[in-house]
Amino acid sequence: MKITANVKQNEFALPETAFQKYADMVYRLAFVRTKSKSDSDDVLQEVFLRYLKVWQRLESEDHVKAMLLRITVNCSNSLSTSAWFKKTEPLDEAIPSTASLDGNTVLQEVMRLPLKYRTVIHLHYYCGYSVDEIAKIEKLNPSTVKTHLSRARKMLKDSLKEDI
Amino acid sequence: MFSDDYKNAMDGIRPDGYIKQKVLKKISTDKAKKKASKIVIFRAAAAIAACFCVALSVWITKPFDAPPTNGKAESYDKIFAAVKKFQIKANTATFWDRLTGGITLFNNAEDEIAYEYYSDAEGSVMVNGATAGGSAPSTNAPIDDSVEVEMDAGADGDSYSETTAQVDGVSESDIVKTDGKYIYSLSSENGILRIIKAGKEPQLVSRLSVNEDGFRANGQMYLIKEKLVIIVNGTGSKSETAAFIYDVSKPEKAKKVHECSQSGRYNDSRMIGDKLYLITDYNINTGKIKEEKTETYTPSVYCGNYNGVVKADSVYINENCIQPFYTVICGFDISNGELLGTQSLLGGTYTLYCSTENIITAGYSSDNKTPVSRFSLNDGKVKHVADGSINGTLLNQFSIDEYKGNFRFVTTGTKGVVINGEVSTNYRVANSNSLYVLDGNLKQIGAIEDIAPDERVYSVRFMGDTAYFVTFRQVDPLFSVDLSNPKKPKIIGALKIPGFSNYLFPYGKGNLLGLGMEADEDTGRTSGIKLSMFDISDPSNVTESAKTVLDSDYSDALYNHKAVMVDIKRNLIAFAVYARHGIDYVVYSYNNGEFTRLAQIELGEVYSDVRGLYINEEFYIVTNKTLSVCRLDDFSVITTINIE
Repeated sequence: MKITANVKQNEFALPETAFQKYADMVYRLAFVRTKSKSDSDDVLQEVFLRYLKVWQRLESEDHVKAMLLRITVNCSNSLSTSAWFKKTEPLDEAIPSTASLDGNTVLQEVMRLPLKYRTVIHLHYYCGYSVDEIAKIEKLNPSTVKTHLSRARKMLKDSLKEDI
Repeated sequence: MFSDDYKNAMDGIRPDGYIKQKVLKKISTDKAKKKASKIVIFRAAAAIAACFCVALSVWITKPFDAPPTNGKAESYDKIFAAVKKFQIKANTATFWDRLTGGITLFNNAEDEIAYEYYSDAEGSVMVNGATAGGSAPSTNAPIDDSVEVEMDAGADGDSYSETTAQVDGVSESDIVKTDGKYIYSLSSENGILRIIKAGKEPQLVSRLSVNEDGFRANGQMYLIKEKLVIIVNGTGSKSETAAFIYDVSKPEKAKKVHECSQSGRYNDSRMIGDKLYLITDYNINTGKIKEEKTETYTPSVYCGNYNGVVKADSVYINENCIQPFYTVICGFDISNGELLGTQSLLGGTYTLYCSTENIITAGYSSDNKTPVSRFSLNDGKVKHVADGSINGTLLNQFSIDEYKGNFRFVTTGTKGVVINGEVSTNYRVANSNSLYVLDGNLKQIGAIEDIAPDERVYSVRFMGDTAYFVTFRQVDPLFSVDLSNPKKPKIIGALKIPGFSNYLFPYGKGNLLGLGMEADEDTGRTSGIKLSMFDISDPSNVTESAKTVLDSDYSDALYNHKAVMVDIKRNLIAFAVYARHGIDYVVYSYNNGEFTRLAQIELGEVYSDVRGLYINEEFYIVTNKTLSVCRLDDFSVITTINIE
C-alpha cells in the first residue's frame, strides 16, 4: 500500500500526464533549437524516455516543467547519439530549413538568431521564464543569460525594426 | 508586439497527433519494463487482471476480414488520385498550415518517427528457422548458428566475427565492420569513418568524413568484396536516403566510387551477396502535389543507370492506407552502383523482415490490424507478390519468420486504457498475443490467439518446427509452440521463471540463450541484466539450466541485437553494460550448466555505441573514440589506441 501512496504523491509527474500536458512545450523548444520538424520529433521521444528515469524524484509541477525543458536543451544539443548520456555539442548552425517559415517574419528572424540566443528568447518570451530561471534550466550563469538575452533583443530589434 | 506575434506563431508548432501517439505508446511500454514502482503504476493504469493466468487452453482459428487490396498503379493518374485523397482541406487548415502552405514543414515527420520508434528493437522478437529437434532445415530457412557467423575469408584463412544478423546469408548494417584485416568504424555522431589496420599494434590508416553537403551518415554500414557501403540520410527537409559506395581495395586510399539515392527517410536495409536492398519511407507533401508533375507525388531514384521518378507500374496502392506514405524498396548492384529493381507501396511500413528470397513489410492501419505485403527478391530484382493482414501489431523484424514457404508472425494486440471513465485512444496497453501462420500468398492457414492475456511478447525464436517465445508481466513464461503442422500450431510447454528475455539466441544443440532482465516474482521489479540458458532438447519440457545476473541494469544489447556478440564456436557472449563509473565490456562463456565471466573490461565514460569483434587470436573493442585490442585467450588488454 505504500506504493499507492507514492503514486498519489507523484501523480502530477506521471510520464503519461506530463506528456499530455507538456509534449507541445517540449516540441516547440526542440523546434526552436533544431529548426527541423523531424529532428524535433526525435527530441520529443528522447526527452520523454529520459524523463522516465527521473520523474519519481520530482517534487512539484514547476519542477516537472523545468526538468523537461532542461532535458530538451540537452537532448537537442546532439541528435545523432542514441543514448541518455550525451556530450553537449553545439548544433550545426547552417541547417537551411528556415526557408519553410516563409510568411512569418517574427519566427523567421528568431530562427535566424544563433542557437543560444533563440533559446533564451523562446524561454523568456514564450515560456515566460525569468533570467534566473533560464539560468537554472540551461545550467548557465545568470549574467551569461542576461547577456544572451540583451544581445538577442538587440539583434531582433535591428532586424524587425521593432522595440521588444 | 513581438511577444504576441511570436507566441501566435509558436502556438502553431506542435507535433502531429500521430507522432504523439507513437511516443506515448513508447513511454508506456518502456516505463513498464524499467523500474519496479513504474511497473506497479503501469499495472494500476492497465487495471485489473491481477492474477497471472494464461489461457493456454484457448486457441481458436478465426476467419479473417478481407485483407487490404493493393492495386498495381499502372498509371501516374491512379497514383495521383490515391495521394490526392490526403490533401488537407483549406477550411480545416490550422494557423500553422496556412502559414506554411499545408504540411510543407512537416512532410518527413511520420517516416522519421516511425523509424525511430520501431528501430530500437524494444522487446525484441527473434526469429530463426533453424531446427530444434535435429531435422534438416529447408533451403530458405536460416540455419541454427546464424547469430554470429564465423567466416573463413579467402585463402589466408583469417577467421573473424560478423555483425549479429537475423537470417543467415542476409547481412545487416552496423557501425563497425571488419574483413579480417582492417576494422572500419563509423561515427554516427559526426560521420567520420576510421579505418584501422588490425593486429597487436593496430594502426589508424585512414580517417575521412562521410558527411557532405545535404547528407549525414546514420550509422549504417556494409562491407563486401572491397566495397564499403555507407547509408546516409538527407538532412534538413530533404527526404532522401543515399548509399555511398567506397572502394576500399586500398584502405589507405578509400574513395567514393558510386552514389545511389532514393526518395524517403531510411527505414531499413539488407545486403544479400553484393546486392543492397534499401528500404525508405517516403511521405508525400500533399500541399504541393501537382498532377502534371509526377515527381511531386511519386518516389524517385538516382543512380548510375536510373535518374527520375519510378515507373508507374512499380507502384502499388494499398486502398486502406491511412496516410500518403510510401515504402520504397530498391535493389542496387554494389559493384557498379546500378539500380536492379524497385517497387513502391503506398501505405507505409513500420517494420520488415528479409530472408534470402523475400521481404515482408508490415504497415499501418487505423484499426488494430497490421497489413503485410510480400516482395520477392531475385538477385537485386524486387517483385510485389501478395498482400495479407493479421491482427495486432508486430514488435520488430524478429516477429516475422519464413519457413518452408510459409510465413509466421507473432503479434501483440492492444486495448485502450480507461482513464477517468473514458477509454483512451492514445494510451493503449497490451492485452493479448497471437501467433499466425500465413502461406505464400499471405492467406492465413493457422493461428493461436489470446496467448497470455494482458502480457506482451518480449522475444521469439522460431526454430524450424518449434517456436519459443517469452511474454512478461511478473514472471517470464517461455512458451514452446509446435508448428510441425502449420495449420494447427499448438502450445506444448510453458516455463515460468522470474524476469524476461529481450532476445533469444540458439546456442548450440539443445540450448537457447536468453538475454534480458531479472525481475522480482512478486512485484515485477527488475534487478539487473540476466543471462539465461534454456535446455530445449525436449521442447515440451524446457528448463532453465543456468542463469547469471549482472550488476548493471542497462545495456544497448537489450535493445539492439547488433550490439551483442554471440559466437557459439568460440563460446563467447559479449556486450557492453552501463556500470556505475561508465561503460564496461563483459565477456561470458557457457560450459556444463554454468556461465563464466571471462572478462569485464572498463571502458570509462565513453557513452557511445560499443562493438566487440575478433580477428584470429585478438579480440577488439571499438568505441566512438578508442579501439582496444585484447588477447582472445585471457582477455588481457594489449593496447588501446585513440581513433577519435
